Amino acid sequence: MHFEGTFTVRASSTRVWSFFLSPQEFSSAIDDPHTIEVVDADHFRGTIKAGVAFIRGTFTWSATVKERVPPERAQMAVHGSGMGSAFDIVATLSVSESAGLTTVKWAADVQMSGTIATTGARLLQGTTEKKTNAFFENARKMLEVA
Amino acid sequence: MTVHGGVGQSIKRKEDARFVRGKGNYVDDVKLPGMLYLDIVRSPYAHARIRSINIEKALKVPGVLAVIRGKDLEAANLAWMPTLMSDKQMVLPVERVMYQSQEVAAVVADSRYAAADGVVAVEVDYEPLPVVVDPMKALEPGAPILRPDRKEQTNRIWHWEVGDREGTDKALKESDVVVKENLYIPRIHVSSIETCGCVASFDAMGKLTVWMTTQAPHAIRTVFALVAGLPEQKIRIISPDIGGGFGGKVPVYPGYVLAVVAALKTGHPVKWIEDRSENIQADSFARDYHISAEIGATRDGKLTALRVKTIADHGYTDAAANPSKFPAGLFHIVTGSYPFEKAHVEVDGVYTNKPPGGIAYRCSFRVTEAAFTIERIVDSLARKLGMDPAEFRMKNFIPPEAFPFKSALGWEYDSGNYQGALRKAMDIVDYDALRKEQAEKRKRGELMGIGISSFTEIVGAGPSHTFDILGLKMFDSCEIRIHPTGKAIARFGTKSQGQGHETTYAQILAEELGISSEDIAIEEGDTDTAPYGLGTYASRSTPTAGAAASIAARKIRDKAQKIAAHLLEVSPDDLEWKDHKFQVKGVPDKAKTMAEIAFAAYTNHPPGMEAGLEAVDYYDPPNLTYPFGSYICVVDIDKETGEVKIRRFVAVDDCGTIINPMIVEGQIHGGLTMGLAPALLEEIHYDENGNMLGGSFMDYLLPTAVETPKWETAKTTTPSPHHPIGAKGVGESATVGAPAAIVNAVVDALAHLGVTHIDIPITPWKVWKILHEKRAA
Repeated sequence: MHFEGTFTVRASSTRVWSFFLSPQEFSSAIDDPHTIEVVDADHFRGTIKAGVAFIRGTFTWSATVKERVPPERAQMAVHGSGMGSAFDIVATLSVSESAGLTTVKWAADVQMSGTIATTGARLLQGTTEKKTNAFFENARKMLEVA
Repeated sequence: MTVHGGVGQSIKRKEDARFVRGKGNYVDDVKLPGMLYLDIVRSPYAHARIRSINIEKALKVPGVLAVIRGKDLEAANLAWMPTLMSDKQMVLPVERVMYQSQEVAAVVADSRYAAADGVVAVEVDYEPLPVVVDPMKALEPGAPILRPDRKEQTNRIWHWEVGDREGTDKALKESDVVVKENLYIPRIHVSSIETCGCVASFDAMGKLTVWMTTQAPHAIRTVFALVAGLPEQKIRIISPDIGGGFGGKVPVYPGYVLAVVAALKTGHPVKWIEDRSENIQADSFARDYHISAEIGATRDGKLTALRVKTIADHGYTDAAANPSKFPAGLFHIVTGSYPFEKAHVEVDGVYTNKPPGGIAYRCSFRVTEAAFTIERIVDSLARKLGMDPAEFRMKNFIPPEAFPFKSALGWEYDSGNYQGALRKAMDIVDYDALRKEQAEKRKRGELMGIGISSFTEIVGAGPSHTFDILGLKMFDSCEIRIHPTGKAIARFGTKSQGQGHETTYAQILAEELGISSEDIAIEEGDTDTAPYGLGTYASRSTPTAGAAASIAARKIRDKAQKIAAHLLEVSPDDLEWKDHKFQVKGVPDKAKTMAEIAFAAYTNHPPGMEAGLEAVDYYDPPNLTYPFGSYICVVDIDKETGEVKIRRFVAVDDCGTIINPMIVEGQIHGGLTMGLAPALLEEIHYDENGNMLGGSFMDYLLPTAVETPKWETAKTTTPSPHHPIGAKGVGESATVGAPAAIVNAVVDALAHLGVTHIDIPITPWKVWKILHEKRAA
């Protein structure tokens, strides 16, 4: 599944870029209950309670920062598994600032495997899109409040 | 004089007395002291390397006693096991998983819930590998080799062909008209009510008993002995009541082996019962044939030749249960009800990253695929020639006087009257009036279609000279004991999964022995007591074990005649078997019933004769049997929604001599519904990553009473000349014949729009799309 979007936020590009590369900050934009542990600057891991339809449970996940071009670009790969399912996400962020506003272009390639993909196939696209949009909307609000 | 419950009587099913009261005894009803429970960790990936399996957390889950991994089995040489097609399949993987939901590890615990918690706690680190879902791509150069363990470094499992290739090419070239269709028969699942499972238990003497959902208990016992190296007398397979099999309970699934290993490891009985999603996602599938068929005819509508090429997607291993000689099963019955002079069939089996199988889902080894192909393409050819499909079939059927008939692909059909069956179906449905109605409706823009399917089945494997599975010859057996009071018990090598064997076998014996079917107990499914047999699938029980019942009963009659002669003080030659008793010829009052003879067999048998009255027969049929039928389906299509509504469906079946008309009608009702399902509803689909989409009944659409039309059934009777009572078998005919009738009806409704074929399942979306593309909505 491929998702992408663009939003504008009243914050500097440096601030926006650092928000999405800070595990403590970006994780606060995730609605689902979760934990996060910083392994080193480029590696994070944790757990998240999530699901699709009636398949809900705890997934363990790990993330690796694949690319850092401050304050313009970043790419992160996330792998998670649990509940007989697995997911792999490659998320790309592109940040540009103009007249006090920062435009964030994001894209995510999501690959789901296992029970969630099998049993929740009909709901998967919608649920994933909803959660992704919620994450970026939360991030935008947090950046503007800050 | 008729005997109570003899052949031809619609007596109620004996077994239903327990089923309708909820008193059936299924595997999951087996509860043993100290029994543990096994649950399975399954792969989320369709193809991945296993980097590691961490079981530490799982072993700390309260109640979890053991976790079994592939490397544990490898040490005992049990990580792989043979399939029934002499391929190999993993019990548990050591290095790579090959399909989504494949077994990866097994957790044993003191409760079902603890085992499930343990499964969640097992940590498997996978490295995803490229996935091959499309069998065509699997055959392309450079495709990942899915089975590097094989000597042949290709994803082509086998190539098989039969018939006259050059002759067929020439005949097609010289034909006035040739039609070609590409047909896909998608992967589907049997979805029986009861999922698979077992309970494995070793006794103090080391004897293994496995209560198991299997259609072929003896074959399983032998496979267990060969794979595990256990002495066969120390293995007892008990197949209790089974809630539907349809071919899905023929294979040996890893869960069975894991339960046995777990029982050995823990010293406790171990139960494994899969859940519904596991059943759909991991157990053997059916169909998945990509077919290209060409058919030729003369300008005046006489068939000339048939050429069929097929790609068979077998998943990661060939775990079908086809006879050894025929990797594509009996698909070469594809010439159907027609006397082609030339025909050629070739099939390629292919590996993909999907679950294994290719099982005979309520059809005798790929016969549904064959019947669908020929009945679809015959319809297309008739349309191209501008002929009515009924008229075209009538013109081309094998005539009744041509039987026994040798087909272009080597089968010898035993008997048939195809014209009679189709004529009867046409009369019942009032075919001519329907065609008139269709023409009028078409003028008004309404969509109505009439579809015909005149199929020929092929069932009853053996004979043993041609048919075996893993070298085990395909005969079947019956053992009868008549008790002193004239009651009897008979045991068989087959295993009913709902077919009603306890009733129909008793009816055969009642007819042969003159004992009420109520007084005959039938037992199957316990390898310690039943005679060896190959089990129940492919409509083989009546043609093989049913015949064995007749022959064994006649052996008893031979002895009974001598006892009767002794009692009546006449020569055995002076007696005749009439009105279900031995009578002195010409003196009907001087007679002995089987009950009187049986009592004498234990109390007053002739000097020099062994006491008792029993017999056994291992019946090796001289040929297969060839049931047939003609189905006519009438559909109306909603132009707004694309929904296909079956208005009428007339099914005329001919299964030879009918043992219990009520049971046969029930079989046909069930079979028709299972034929409707793939035609309009069911399909197992995978995304490009090998995720099975629709692994639950939320998405895998089984027909319910809402979707099922009122079936109209009728019969003709053309006995098999070589079966002792003329029976042919009927369990699968309707599943085999129905899909083509439905699809032909839908295509007929849309033919004036230029539609020649729609792949099944014909969903409302597919029809709606066609109507919009053709601007006919």
